[in-house]
Amino acid sequence: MPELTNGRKFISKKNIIFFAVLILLSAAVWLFFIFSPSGGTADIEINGEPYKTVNLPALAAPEVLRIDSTLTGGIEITVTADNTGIAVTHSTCPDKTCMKTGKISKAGEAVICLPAKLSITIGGKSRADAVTY
Amino acid sequence: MGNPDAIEDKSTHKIKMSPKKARNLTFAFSLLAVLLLISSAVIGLNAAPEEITTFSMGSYVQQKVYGGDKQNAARAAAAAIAELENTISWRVEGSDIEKLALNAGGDYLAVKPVTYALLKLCKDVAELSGGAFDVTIAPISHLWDFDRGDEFVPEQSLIDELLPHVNYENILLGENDTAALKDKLTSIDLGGIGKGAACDAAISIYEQSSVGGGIIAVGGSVGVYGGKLFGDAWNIAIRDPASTGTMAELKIREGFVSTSGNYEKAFTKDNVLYHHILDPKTGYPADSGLVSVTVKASSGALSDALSTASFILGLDEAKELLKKYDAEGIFIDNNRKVYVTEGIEAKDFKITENTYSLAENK
Repeated sequence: MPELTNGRKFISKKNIIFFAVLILLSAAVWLFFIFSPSGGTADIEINGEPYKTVNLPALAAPEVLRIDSTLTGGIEITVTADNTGIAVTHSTCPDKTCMKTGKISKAGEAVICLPAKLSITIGGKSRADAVTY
Repeated sequence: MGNPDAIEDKSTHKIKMSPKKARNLTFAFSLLAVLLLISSAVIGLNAAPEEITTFSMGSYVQQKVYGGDKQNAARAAAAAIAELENTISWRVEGSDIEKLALNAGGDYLAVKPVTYALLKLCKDVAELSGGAFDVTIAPISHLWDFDRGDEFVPEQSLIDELLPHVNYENILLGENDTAALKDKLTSIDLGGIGKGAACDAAISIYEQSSVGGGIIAVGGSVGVYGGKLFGDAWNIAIRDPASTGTMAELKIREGFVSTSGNYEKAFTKDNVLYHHILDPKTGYPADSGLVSVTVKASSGALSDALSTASFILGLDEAKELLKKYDAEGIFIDNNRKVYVTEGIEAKDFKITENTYSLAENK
């Protein structure tokens, strides 16, 4: 490593800074994996399987999604998303709980349609690990 | 520094040492930095919890498991919950509970140990709550059938006909995991404790496996085991009865939390709110002045049973009941006042929705 020590008998301040940067960088990588953020995205899952992820802040105009009814046991569901939130706006399920939930926008909030086994959750850093209700 | 080879030269801010030593030191530092980078990436990837969602017991089952063989532990827990449902759901053909109902008025039947243990727990809570919690409410809860969602209010005469068959003393527990129902028209619905019992099943799998920690939520019933990545307490948000959001946060390190509230499976008809927590004494939705009760207890089935009983009993009697089980409670009344039992420390409970306020402890 002659370029690091410059052929001299010293470890210079520069080298120490170089190591400090490397160490900080690895700490940053570590933190990134632990707290990897995914704010503002709505994850739609059917039967526990990912169906589609919508990046809400990126939507310039409202997006209307018709969910593939072959996956929901024939229940027809329409989801409407815009940059302020996401909601189930139409469903042929019997209880319509999903429609009554209304629009969700905050991290950790969810719309669930049990008959269709469909869930929409807002990702991002929610402080709670679970919600009791 | 005590090292004679490394004397700080104040004029240049450099440390004097032999060229060989400097080379070795540089090499060692570089190696250390590279290793640190690689290991941090590996640890980082490993640190993320295994998160899976399944459906059981008519609800969403969410697991977050940290450390060890988290993937297999989460899968095993999901399977255990599905098996439990097949054992204790009255809706499942061939389940212990269906067999008991079909055999009502007859001889003792062999049931699985888990069914026996749950029936025993239900009878125990029924006795200590003076019948406020009673799983033999089944004939009346099936009449209302809040799951159907058609806003049906049964006639008083129908309820009066069924009420005499609602009595936990009709559950007979025999020896060697056998049980029977004394009355031909009595049946059992363990729906009120099924979610909590599912949490118990998952946590016992986490305990038997090598995972460092995990959290399970079956619907609104929650169980925790171990700690998170840095051994932090688990943060449980409590649903705001008046909205779809949450109103408080409770930190727990062990145990189980369940909530009973009048906002779930509810409908309003002719200006009357009908919700799914039926008072076994009247056959109609309970009205004790509470809108929500959250209970922390040593098992999930117990926290489920106690939250239902507490909701029906009302604040004062509920506090007495919880003491008997060494359980803690958070009660919300219809004036947005929040009451907390003594065992919940102030640092572990925080109201996050400022339209609610903590009541002075009596």
